[in-house]
Amino acid sequence: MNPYVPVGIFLGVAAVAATAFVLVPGLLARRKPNPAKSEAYECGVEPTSVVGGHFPVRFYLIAMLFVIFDVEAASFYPWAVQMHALRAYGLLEMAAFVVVLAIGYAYVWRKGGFQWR
Amino acid sequence: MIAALVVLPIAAGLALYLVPRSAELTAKWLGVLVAFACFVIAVLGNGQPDESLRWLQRPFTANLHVGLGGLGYWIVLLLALSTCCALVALRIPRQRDFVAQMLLLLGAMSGVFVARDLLVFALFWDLMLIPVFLMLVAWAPRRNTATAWRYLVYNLSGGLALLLATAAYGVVEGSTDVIGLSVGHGATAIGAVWGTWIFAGYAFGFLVKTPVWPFHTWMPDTYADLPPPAVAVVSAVQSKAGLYGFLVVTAPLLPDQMRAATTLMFVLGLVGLVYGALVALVQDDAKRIVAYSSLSHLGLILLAAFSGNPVALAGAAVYIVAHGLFSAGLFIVLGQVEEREETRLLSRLGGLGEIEPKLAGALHIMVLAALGLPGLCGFAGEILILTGLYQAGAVWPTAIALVPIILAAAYMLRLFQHFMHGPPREDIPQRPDLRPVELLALAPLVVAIVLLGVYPGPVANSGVVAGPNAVVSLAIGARR
Amino acid sequence: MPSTLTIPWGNADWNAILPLGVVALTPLLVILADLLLPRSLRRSVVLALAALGLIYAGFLAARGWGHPYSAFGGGFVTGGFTIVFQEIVIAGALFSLLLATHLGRDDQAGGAVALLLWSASGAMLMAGAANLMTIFLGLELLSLALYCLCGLAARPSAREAALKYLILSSTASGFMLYGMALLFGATGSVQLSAFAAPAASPMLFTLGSGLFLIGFVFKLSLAPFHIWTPDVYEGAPLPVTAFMSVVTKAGALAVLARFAYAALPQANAQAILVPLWIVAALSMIVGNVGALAQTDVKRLLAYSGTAQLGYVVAALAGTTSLGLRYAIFYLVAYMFMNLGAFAVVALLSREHEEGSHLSAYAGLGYRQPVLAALMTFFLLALAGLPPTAGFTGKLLILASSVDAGYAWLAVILIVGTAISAYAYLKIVLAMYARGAGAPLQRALHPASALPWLGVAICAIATFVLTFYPLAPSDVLPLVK
Repeated sequence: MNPYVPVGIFLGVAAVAATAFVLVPGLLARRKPNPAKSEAYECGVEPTSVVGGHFPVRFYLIAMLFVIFDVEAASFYPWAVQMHALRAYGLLEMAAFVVVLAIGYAYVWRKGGFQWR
Repeated sequence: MIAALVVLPIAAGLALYLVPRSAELTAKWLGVLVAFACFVIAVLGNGQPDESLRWLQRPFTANLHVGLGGLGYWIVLLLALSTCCALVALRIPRQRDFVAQMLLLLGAMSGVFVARDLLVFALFWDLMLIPVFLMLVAWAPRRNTATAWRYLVYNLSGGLALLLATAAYGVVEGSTDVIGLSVGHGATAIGAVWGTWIFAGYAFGFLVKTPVWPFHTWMPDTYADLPPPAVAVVSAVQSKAGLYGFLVVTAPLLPDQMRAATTLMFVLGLVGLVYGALVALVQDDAKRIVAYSSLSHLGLILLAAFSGNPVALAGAAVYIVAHGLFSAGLFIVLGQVEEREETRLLSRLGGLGEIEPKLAGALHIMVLAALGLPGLCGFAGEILILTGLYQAGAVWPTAIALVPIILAAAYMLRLFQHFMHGPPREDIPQRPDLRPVELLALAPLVVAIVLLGVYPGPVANSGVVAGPNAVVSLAIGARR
Repeated sequence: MPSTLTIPWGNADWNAILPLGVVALTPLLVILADLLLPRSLRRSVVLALAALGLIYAGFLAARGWGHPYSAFGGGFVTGGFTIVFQEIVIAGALFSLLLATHLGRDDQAGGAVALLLWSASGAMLMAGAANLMTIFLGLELLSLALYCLCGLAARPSAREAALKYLILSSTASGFMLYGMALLFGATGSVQLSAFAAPAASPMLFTLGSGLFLIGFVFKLSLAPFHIWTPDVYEGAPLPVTAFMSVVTKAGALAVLARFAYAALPQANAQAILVPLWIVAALSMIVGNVGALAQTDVKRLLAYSGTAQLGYVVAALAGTTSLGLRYAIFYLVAYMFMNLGAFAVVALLSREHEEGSHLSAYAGLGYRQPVLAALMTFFLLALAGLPPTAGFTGKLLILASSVDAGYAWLAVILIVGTAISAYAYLKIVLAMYARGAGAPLQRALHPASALPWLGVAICAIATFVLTFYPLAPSDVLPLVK
């Protein structure tokens, strides 16, 4: 059997299921709307603002900076585990990586990237 | 030396932008000087050895190869002379820029007629579009740019078809350094299919540029809207590029295709011949009369180019130069009329002959040359072409071609009559007659018209009869 | 007892990516300079550092000419092909820096220049990438930096540009990644050189190639995947637009050419690539027709870029060795004429307003004659008219298409060129037509010496390349 057949089956099942989940409730469900039901669900409290409204771009900046340092940490782990095997080469490589990152860190700092404005 | 014919005017044209804008007279006389220098260089350069620089080796050989001789020599002389004359009496706003564009045009057109390589030919063919386009844009009457677009669309399509044909020719033959190489060269190597397509590309470019009916619709507007000095040069020389192409480029290189296209070209030429003459009869704008008369005359040369008869081909060579001379003269004189009277409509002018006798005399000579008076250059070309056509057995085309020649007398004399005869009109300004400098502009053309009329031999013999097909190679003259 | 890993590559491998490394590390210095120097010096020092880094990298890359080496286990190949494209990238980046002298905010200059260089290093990586991983790495490095650069200008259209580019480009990357996965599935290897063997599953391989090509057609902004280009070009700051128009395309074209020439099985390579030629034909028409209606020069150049890259890809048709050389020649010519036009736009720009709207050109021929003449020259080059490298380049592409048996592509190229002339000469017309109303009298920005340098170099190169069509010789040994 072709090794891709399971993939094909999986794709087919996924497509059928997703379509069904979207379509079937619309066909079967009984509709009895009332004001409480029509409300957007938010912890049982009246929504205070438009859903999908604006929120400050500052969050994105923080998130992005976080991802950078997160990735840095993630790449430290495997290196630390194999540090002895990689020897001086690994150390140099990691040092270069840290220097690059440090310059970036300094840049973000000096440009005020960490200030909550 | 020969390359200087191209390089000098182009360099001078660019350098002219360094002259202060206000120095209009300096610019004008510098332009005249350069054009005259080109005339002298051409006279000295006739029959000199070719000059060549390597350009491409792959995908085919192409060289920056120029040479002067044969029909090309006479056309280059005509070009330098008509540019010189057009510039001498120049009076136009933004004169410096105009002279610069005229010099660029002079260089580009010289390039077409000295090119000995198809690719160089195609390069200058496209290059000579640009100054004309710019002049149409920058000096258009009533800020009307539609004419410039129409000129560009037609001529660029033709130029690109020619470029594609050149590329195809290079790929098929391996070299484009073939203009005037030897008669019949490549006739056997090119297969029927490729040959037909390549010929179609060239023919389209040539027919549009000439122009030949039905590709002529850009021409009347362009001639009407270009300033008179520019239209003098364009109608005298640029319109000959297509005919020169048929005679010098395709006739030796693609003789079979030329022969196969004879009937079609005869039909196009004859229709243009008759149609141009008939339309010229009813025009009110003098420039358009001359434009349509060009369509008619050039149709006659097209017949000669495809007749394959040596006499007709000699006639074609003479008539190419002759038409250049008198159409340049006509447009310069019409420019002088328009400058004085601020109109060139037949219906609004009359009786100028009494006020401005010298102007009337100048116009008279040009009109007589155009209608083919024996003793002037037009007649020499026409009689040779008609004799040759008859010899070649094309009796009916010869008979049909006679009609527009008679009509030419009608429309040309009609123009002259409306302008010069009759009672002087009250509603047109009384202006002084031709100044000496304006006479100076016309004198060389008149001399040339008479000379060519009584002694057309050198031009007629610029080709040699060779090969079994009696194809005349006009590219190289008698020396190769 | 910890085992030791041997590092499978040595000095030669590092040498191979040295030029790329220099371009990737220079931004660190740039950033430090931006942090440490006083505000008044910043911009000039940053630009000088970046230029020095690029020039040094160009020098290092040139040293490797003729020494093909397959570094990092076949992930990165050096030698002729890579070096040619790396030099194009470096030159493109340098010219873009020339335009950045007076545009944009001072405090953004350091970051922007650093991103520009990183982006260039991505393109340089793509130039030598010989397996799917390095291709993707290079592409993402190129693109990620550009997403930021596109949004740099302080205007709403910049944000639109950045977002549009991010989303659409990521979509294209998705297509490409999917294609890569399928290619890997079909062949069991990520090495391009391994693809040349007949695939185990031809269906999968064809599908994978198709998706992979779609990704690159998007990056080259060929029709029908060009819709994003005008908006992004319009919104991005001028130097970034100039950079994108050359460097991105050079990088993507390098991968495309390598894939087309070296990574497809001989048996069905031509069949797989047929859609690519159709895309090229479509681009020539759609790009030029799209350019007709534009009133903003940056948008016009975006559409023009679509068409021009169509010409370049058309040169590859038939995957002949000559075709590749002419594609490279045309790319180089395109770089000069396109960047020359951008440099003119930069000269017409001011601090916060880019001189890209057509109205900025009205009457330029009378206000700035030299600048207008040079702009005309670049536009003629883009339109493929003589005497410019665009003319020679187009001729070579025509010849190679005819030679490779793709005459229909040559015909479409001619049709596209005819259409494009209208679009480009519209600007020429605006510059030289006697405009309605008094033209805005604006002086050029004082700090604009460097764009003038760019204009001059581009003009000289565009002219010289016409007659010395330098095409690299031995670039075909692409993949070892």
